[in-house]
Amino acid sequence: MSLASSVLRRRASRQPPLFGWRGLVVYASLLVLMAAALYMIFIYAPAERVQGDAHRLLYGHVAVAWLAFLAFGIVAFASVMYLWRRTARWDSLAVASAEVGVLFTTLTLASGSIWGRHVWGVWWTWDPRLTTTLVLWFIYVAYLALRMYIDNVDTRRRVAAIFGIVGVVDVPIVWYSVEWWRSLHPVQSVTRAGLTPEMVLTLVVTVVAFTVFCFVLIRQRYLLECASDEGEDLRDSVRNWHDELRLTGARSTPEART
Amino acid sequence: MTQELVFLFIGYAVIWVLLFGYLVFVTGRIRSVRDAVHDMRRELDAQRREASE
Amino acid sequence: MTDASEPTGAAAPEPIRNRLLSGKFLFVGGALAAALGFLIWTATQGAAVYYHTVSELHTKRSEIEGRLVRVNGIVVDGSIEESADGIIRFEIEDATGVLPVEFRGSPPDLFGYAEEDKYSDVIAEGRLLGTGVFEARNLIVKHGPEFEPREIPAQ
Repeated sequence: MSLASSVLRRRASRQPPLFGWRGLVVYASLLVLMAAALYMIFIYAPAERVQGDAHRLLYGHVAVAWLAFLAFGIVAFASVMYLWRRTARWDSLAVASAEVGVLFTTLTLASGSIWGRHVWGVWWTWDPRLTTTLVLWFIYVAYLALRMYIDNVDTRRRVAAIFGIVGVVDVPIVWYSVEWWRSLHPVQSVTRAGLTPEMVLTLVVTVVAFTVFCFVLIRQRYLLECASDEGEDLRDSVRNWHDELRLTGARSTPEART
Repeated sequence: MTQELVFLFIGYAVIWVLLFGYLVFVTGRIRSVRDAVHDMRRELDAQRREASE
Repeated sequence: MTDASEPTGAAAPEPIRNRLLSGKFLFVGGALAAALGFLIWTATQGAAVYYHTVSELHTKRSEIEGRLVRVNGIVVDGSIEESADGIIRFEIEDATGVLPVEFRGSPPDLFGYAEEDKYSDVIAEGRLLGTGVFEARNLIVKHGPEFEPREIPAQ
């Protein structure tokens, strides 16, 4: 009983607000940034010589791809911190970033597929860039699946941390795939000065807007993970409590146990 | 509407619908999980009070 | 992930269970890392030659004849001909040579000559015939990282 109540007292008071005044500022600026990005993408950026309006997919596609890389970078960093410090918070950050990273990789694959269907003429092809990106998606889907199959909390977190760190190796492979191997996917436009100043500015605004969105998503998912952890701890203490009740019940009175 | 505009709009629709959908889903889940935790804690408190009487 | 309403296994004596699992966890982690490495290795190996150059198609002829391969080249100016039977014939060239290509079907929208604001860089998927003609089943348009504004025609 003492165990159960101490766990409860320790856990009772940490619930960051879902939507305070700070949340209002964040969501308002997110809306403004998204509106600015929409304007830049659809109106400000010039039509492209060959692709016309279809090239406008570049801004969103590149932004979500970069943010997928960033999210998996955060997974690796948080996993290293977890293995070092062994605090549940780092593990929660890793899960949150992994799920958001998978979402952004999905968006990268989807927007790239739609753009590719129009410009290349195919929805999909086994080009090195596309293949390594798909592998990246599978790695972190496996990371999330793995977590569901390990019941023991400490084991789950340790295995996931190692998996999360190993998996991030694919990010530089995806990045350099277009330089290392023959591919259909073009090399990075930004580093090759392939964009006009207007296009670069549009890309910058889009990336900033999506970055804020990405951080909001990671934070919300992190809060969800913290709440779930709390629920799991509470369930364990309830179980301990019931076990204690059963033991004391068998000895007929609670006073039988000191 | 030309074909390139169709691809353009579908591409961005997929991105924004999934992003906002995920945000709404996760935020809703936080609420329900916190409510569940709150209920569990209340129930536990009640049981403990009962047991100590 | 961790659902507040979902039941987990009964609480076992933690220290013993942890000791048992740490060996298992090393094994599982190692196996997963190996699987991951293998996956990346096969993915990159398979894609290492996503397409051939024109001359590779000829030098590796015995190796690839009858097999589906990809070849990349730039459409030769003025070479695109559409015949009445729905077959498009054109030539592609790269630094290593010229290759005649036949394709039945409708090519991607942006396939064409660079002068006409299309992409002339193309990857053909198909087979090299005994006649030296490449029979394409599929045409994929390739383009570089350069994007430039469309010039507004002067009124």
